[in-house]
Amino acid sequence: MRWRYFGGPPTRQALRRVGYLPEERGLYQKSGLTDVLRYLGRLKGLSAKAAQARTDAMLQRVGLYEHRAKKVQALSRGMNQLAQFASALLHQPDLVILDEPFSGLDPINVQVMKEIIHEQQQRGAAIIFSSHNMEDVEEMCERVVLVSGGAVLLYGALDELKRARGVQTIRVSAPRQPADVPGASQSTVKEGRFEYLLTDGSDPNAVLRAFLEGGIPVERFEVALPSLRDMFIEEVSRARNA
Amino acid sequence: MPATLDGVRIVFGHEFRKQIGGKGFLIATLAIPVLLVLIWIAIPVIRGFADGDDADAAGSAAGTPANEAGQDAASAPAGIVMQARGLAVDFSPYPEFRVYAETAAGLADVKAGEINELFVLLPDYVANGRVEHYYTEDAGDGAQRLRLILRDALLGETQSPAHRQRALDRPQFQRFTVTADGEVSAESGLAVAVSFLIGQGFAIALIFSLIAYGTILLQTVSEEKENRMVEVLLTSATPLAVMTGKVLALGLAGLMQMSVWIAAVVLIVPRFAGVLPDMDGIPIDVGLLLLVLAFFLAGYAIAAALLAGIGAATTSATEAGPLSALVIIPLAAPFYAMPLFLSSPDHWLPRLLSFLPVTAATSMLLRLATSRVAPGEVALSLGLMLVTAALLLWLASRIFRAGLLLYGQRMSLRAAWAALRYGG
Repeated sequence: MRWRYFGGPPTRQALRRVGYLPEERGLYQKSGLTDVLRYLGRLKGLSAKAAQARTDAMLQRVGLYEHRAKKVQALSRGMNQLAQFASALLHQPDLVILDEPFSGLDPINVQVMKEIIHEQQQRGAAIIFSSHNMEDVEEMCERVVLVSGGAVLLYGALDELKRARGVQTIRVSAPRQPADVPGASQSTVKEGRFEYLLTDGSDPNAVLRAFLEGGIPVERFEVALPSLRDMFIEEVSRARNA
Repeated sequence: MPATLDGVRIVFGHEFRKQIGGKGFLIATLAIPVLLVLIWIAIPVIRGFADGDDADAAGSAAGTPANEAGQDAASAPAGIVMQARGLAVDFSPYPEFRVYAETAAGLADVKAGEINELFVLLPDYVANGRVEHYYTEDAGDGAQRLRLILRDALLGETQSPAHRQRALDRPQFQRFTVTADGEVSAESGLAVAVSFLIGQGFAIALIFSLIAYGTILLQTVSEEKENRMVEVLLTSATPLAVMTGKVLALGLAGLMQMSVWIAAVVLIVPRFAGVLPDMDGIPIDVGLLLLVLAFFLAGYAIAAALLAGIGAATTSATEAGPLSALVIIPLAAPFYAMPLFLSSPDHWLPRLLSFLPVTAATSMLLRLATSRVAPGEVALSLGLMLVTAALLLWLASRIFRAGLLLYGQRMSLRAAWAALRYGG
């Protein structure tokens, strides 16, 4: 397999345009926070002055500036994670690779990180976001690749993949459901709503008609695309059973 | 500046600051100077206690010849027995030396208190510098005086290389104490301890230090691999730059520490002669100390490259620890033959171990602390070590890169071989 970075081979210069946050967090625990970030910035080609300026700016952005004089080991797990996240973005990379960036973070820090990732997208950086949390992926990503057992099971724009599934989910808020719902392969009750998974080619309007013809008042009727989580379960289950 | 050199410089700067910034480094660096100062302070105290005990003992044995003579120590002459082949010395201009034909006669005068010390220049003195030194507790600075007389004689007697060399080298004193009761026994424990500490003890400290710095490098590499920091580093610099920067940084930190230790030895040890007369002045050879530093650095480079390779090929510091014994045991192997190194440093085994890169540092440090080593042997040993170190460093960087791709897995021999052939 041949890799190409920014239209060329993965040279050292090309790799310097990459910012990487590994899943295992591991800054040098006994070093000072500022020292570590400045070091990593220098390795990415920043001058000493620029590395210091970017370190200060990123620490302020992630809310760790007042902890800058501390040793890394004195920071909490969440702070460690934010510090390493900041180190990956110090040199304003064109490609940012984030491996499970939110694991172990509290909701406030997750929100801070999501905002910064969004800023990076707006700056023009490409983000590769690796996660097992499908809700995060749906929220953050435009395109997805689903890999299981080393094989690519799914790849493409998220919206297109959902529409291409052919199977749709219908959610109906009603006091009861008819005896027969046409085209529904699966029926569940979630949060007081009936949810039906339609088979290929089924008409969602037939479900609505079944409720109305049964004299059941419908408070809300929703045709939903499948969630990424459902797609994940379906694809991985299929691959494992194959 | 090429990216690789830039990477080396940045990694070097970071690792060096990290290393010397710790309290452990400061404590270890100051340990030897503090120890030497403590010894310097302690010797007169210990000797004071010993003298006090001896004085008490002498009081009960009042009237013995040795004690009577001890009361007039400064004026008592020293005895000399000349058995040395190929060397004739006229002691007639030196009334402080009384010449004896036989050791027994001189020793009888020591026991009788006629003289306080007796020097016997053994037959192989010119070749090996061996001198027997019998002395009482009241002995003066005869050894220092004798060295000057012998040096003049060796330089004046002949211009043969052996004599000139002997004039440059210090004598190898084999010391015996003569008690007030006339008993002859091997040198005092204090003098032996101090001599050992300064000579072999210092060499041992250097060897442990180079092993320690190699082990620190192993831990650093293992830790970075374990916490995936290595992946971040290698998207920024080449494996060779990262590895070289680390090895150089720890090497310089070690060199700084060694320099402080050596400076302490140079400045403090000569003062021991003032408080421990039977040590008769400890010569400090700066050239020898520079050689010691060179072997320390070369030995460290080999140990570091090997240990870094182990760190790169294993999955964690815990797993790398036991494997590091594969490097540390050969490094320390010459210690197992230490008696041979001390008694016969030019024996074929110490010489052979001096040319095997993994055992060379320890062997040469022990030999240099014990005797003079031929310049050709020093150059060959050092050259072999430096070439081996460079090769090992290159190999370790390849393993380092390949190990990155095998996260969580132990590197098989086949994978290691592939990494070496194809660069990981």
